[in-house]
Amino acid sequence: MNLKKVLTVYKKELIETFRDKKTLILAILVPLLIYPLLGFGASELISIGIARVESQVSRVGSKTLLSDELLDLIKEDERLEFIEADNLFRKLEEGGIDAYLESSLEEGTEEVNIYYDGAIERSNSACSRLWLLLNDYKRLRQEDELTQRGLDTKVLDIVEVKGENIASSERMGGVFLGGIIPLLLIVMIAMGAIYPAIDLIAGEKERGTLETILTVPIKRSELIFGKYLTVTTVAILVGALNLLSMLLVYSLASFQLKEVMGGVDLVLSPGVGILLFLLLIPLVLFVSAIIMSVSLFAKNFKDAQNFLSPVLILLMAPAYIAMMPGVEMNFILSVIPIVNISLLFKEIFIQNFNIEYIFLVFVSNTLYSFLGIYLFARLFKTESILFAEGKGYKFSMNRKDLKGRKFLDIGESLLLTSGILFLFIYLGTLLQLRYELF
Amino acid sequence: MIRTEGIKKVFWDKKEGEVVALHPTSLSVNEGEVFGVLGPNGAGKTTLLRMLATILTPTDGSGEVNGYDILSQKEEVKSSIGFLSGNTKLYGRLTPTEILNYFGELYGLGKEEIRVRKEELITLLNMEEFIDKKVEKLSTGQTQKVSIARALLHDPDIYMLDEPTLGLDILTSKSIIEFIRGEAGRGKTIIFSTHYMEEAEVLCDRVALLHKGRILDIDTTEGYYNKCQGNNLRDIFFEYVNKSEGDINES
Repeated sequence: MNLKKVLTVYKKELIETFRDKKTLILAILVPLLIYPLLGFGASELISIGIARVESQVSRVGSKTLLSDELLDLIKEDERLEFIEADNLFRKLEEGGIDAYLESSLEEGTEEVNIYYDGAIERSNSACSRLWLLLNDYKRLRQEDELTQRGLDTKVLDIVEVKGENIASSERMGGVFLGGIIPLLLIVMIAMGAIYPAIDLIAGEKERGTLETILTVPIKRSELIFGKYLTVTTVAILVGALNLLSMLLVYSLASFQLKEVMGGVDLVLSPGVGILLFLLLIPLVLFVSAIIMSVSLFAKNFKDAQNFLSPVLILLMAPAYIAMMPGVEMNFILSVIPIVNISLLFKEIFIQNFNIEYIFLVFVSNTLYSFLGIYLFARLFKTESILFAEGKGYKFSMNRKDLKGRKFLDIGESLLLTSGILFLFIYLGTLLQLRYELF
Repeated sequence: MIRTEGIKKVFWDKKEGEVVALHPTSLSVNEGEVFGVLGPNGAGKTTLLRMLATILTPTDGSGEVNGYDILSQKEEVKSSIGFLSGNTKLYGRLTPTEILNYFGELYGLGKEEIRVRKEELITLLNMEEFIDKKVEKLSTGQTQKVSIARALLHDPDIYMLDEPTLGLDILTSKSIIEFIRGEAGRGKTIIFSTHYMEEAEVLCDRVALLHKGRILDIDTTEGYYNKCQGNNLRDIFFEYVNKSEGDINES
């Protein structure tokens, strides 16, 4: 392979790519603007929302006669307004009140129920306020009772339970970051690779420039590597910008919301940032190879976008697995692409990672990226795919089309696999439910 | 200079099964000759030229271009030829200068060689006024000139031109025909495909008539006039087509 030719192709493809407005918007503008907008927008909204809920007076009604002490406590609380009304249940449903109390005496015990609408924020807030107030009421009643019986009220404090969170504020922040950043990064890297990949493969087919380059003395491998390097460069740039932008925005948001977040710090050290970036590289190489291979089957830009939409979903699905509670890194998960990096990121964020897993994830993802490049190179050398002029892929399961052939092609295999999956998920679940096979 | 022996191309189509784009074809083009491949759309002209240019691999048969084997010496073949077709488009976001520099580097030319050759072609093809504009802003005629410069930058001995005037206006077509004639005068070997009978008549030393993937005959224009009743290449072509389809029906 002539490295000079690879670099010539790489340089030219980069110039072309960065002259494409779509790539520029996606690679540079989106990460630089969307996270600050989302981050600061969200923190502002949270602050405003919290202030609004705090300032609202909760309207509380009662179905039965409450004790004088309880009524006094409610009336003394400035954040509560006592409303006397009939048909409180309906009134709560209609939003006329935020909560109501029902009191009864059961074998000497005063039972007080709070009725609230858990789907409404204002009603939830009323419930929390009443809960605290009723705890105070309970304490007052207990103290009265003890005093009347001539007992020391300290007996109520005989056992005191306290919880001590040993996690640092950074680790607490890591729980949040680890849940959101891997998924966002995978999506953004894939998006970063998709546009240059489509432009450099399907776009070249559509514009008729692919045949031009095939007329010059350059090996297919040199051409493939030049293009591949371009796509990975853009995807790495997109990944790095996204990572940097996200971490900066979260750090600033964390500072802004310090009081609200109480002991949760979203600031990440530069060392961890560099480690995350290094781990991203094999992932970018793998994702780029997959996306480029898929876009080879497309005859034009539109086709490629259609082909790549399900690929994007397929890439996101494993990242969701890592977000599920209880899913922790083990040997098997450390070698499953996407799942491994998502889990590792999660563990790095909570500062509970194992160096062996970092090695395994890095090595396995590097291997997958080599496999991806190999697949792309093989496909690029296949004339029927490279010169598929306007034919695309036709899904056919007619007997006459299949007759006399040993193998199914990619389109037919996809259709068959999708059919089996469809039956497995829908019909399989119905049958299991029907015959109680669980 | 160019020689093929039973070169054949078969494509696989899902509906139709095997489609023979070019039946076994043997031909030879001599040094300094302008050789025309004449036939309607879908005759197999592009497939033949693509195989000679090593863009496509023949299903069967063999061939040589400038003494290099089209199956095993693809890079050497590509270095010897300048290939231009309606399908070889240019990068819209680059300027002609950038395109010529890029292809010059891929042809392995040095910086000075590229500069000298570029200047020659800019003058020859009158490209001065648009040499630094992006290709996407150029007219069809200007783009075609850049395409020609791109294909001939490395000053190859053999030109393979697949319908170079397709879709161009009369004036641009005329200037391109004149350019080809001038290059033939410089002793270049040119294999030239077209479905315009007049172009073949004006330019070619010998013409191959191609129809449905088969070469019907190869001869000089004079030779065709002597053998056939038609007064022009168009009528002669139809005589051959009728005869060939009659033969197929009989068999």
